[in-house]
Amino acid sequence: MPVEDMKSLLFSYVNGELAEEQNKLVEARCKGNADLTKELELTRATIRLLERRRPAEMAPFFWDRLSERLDQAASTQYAWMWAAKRFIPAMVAATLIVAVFLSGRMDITSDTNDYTLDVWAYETDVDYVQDNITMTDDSILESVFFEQESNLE
Amino acid sequence: MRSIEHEDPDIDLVERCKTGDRVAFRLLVEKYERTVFSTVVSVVGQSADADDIAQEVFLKMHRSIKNFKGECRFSVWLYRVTVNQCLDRIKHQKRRPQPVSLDGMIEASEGGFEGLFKDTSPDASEEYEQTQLQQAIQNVLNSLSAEHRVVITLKDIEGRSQEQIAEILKCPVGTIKSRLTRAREALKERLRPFYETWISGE
Repeated sequence: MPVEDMKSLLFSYVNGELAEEQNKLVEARCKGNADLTKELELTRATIRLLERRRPAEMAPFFWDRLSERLDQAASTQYAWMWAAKRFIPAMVAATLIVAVFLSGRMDITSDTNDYTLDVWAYETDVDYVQDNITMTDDSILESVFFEQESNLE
Repeated sequence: MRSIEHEDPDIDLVERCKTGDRVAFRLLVEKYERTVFSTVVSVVGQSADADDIAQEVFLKMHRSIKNFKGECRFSVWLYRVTVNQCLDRIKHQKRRPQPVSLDGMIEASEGGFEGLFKDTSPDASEEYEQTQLQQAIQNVLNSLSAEHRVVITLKDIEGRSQEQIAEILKCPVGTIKSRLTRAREALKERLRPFYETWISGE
């Protein structure tokens, strides 16, 4: 087994997590290898260090502080619920009113557009008719003048 | 699904808690507050945040306990909430693991780094030295990545089995094994310069 793989077994060896066969293998390899022995000592020192770590001490009255936050959270939630009960129906009603109003305005606008189009069409028709009439009048006059001239001649 | 109702010692309190029983909630908090706080300190570091995070864990537990279906033991579920809360906080604060320098370490532990490896008896007269030592150990832990800190905390500080850690972190046992190996190697590498200094000074 390569030295690097052996090194990865050292923590498990010190923690007693290896099988007996693997334990013997680690011990045999460490005996003849100063580098591996030093690595084993560092591993032991690291584990000792972690074992010497004391549990962190809490500030007293944890429950009191938590309870206070719980009450705050509950009152905030209650306030939201109260506001939701009061304001959501009002907001829905307001939204509906605005929607109805806007849809009404859209109908009026579309009528107005229709009306504008009608006026435009009407005016266009008048112009067209007037143009035609004018043309017709001109042609009549021309024909009258032509007739008069020919009569004079 | 495996029924764990008879295995989980907290199931009665949990069921009462689900109905809004504040006394049951308090009993659960008092049972687990030290473990939760200790885990938070190991992962996040001793700071004013630790108490706040521990409170957040129990507030979240209070909010979400109705969703607890009993697929695992309550304690496993609570530690999962704890670890996730710690990781969320670290992510939120965008903390990056800082390399530990020898000078920084000496400064942080006020010279207590020498005590990292020597055996000291838990004598009351050595209380100051112990405080320095604990600070130095925490500094070394803080220098690891959050992921590595979590597995080192759960395995080597709190003594949980790899199977339990896999259950808490919702990972395969193989992933935990390899992550633990990498975390321990990283920890050893952080300690190597101090160890060599200590050996040469002995």
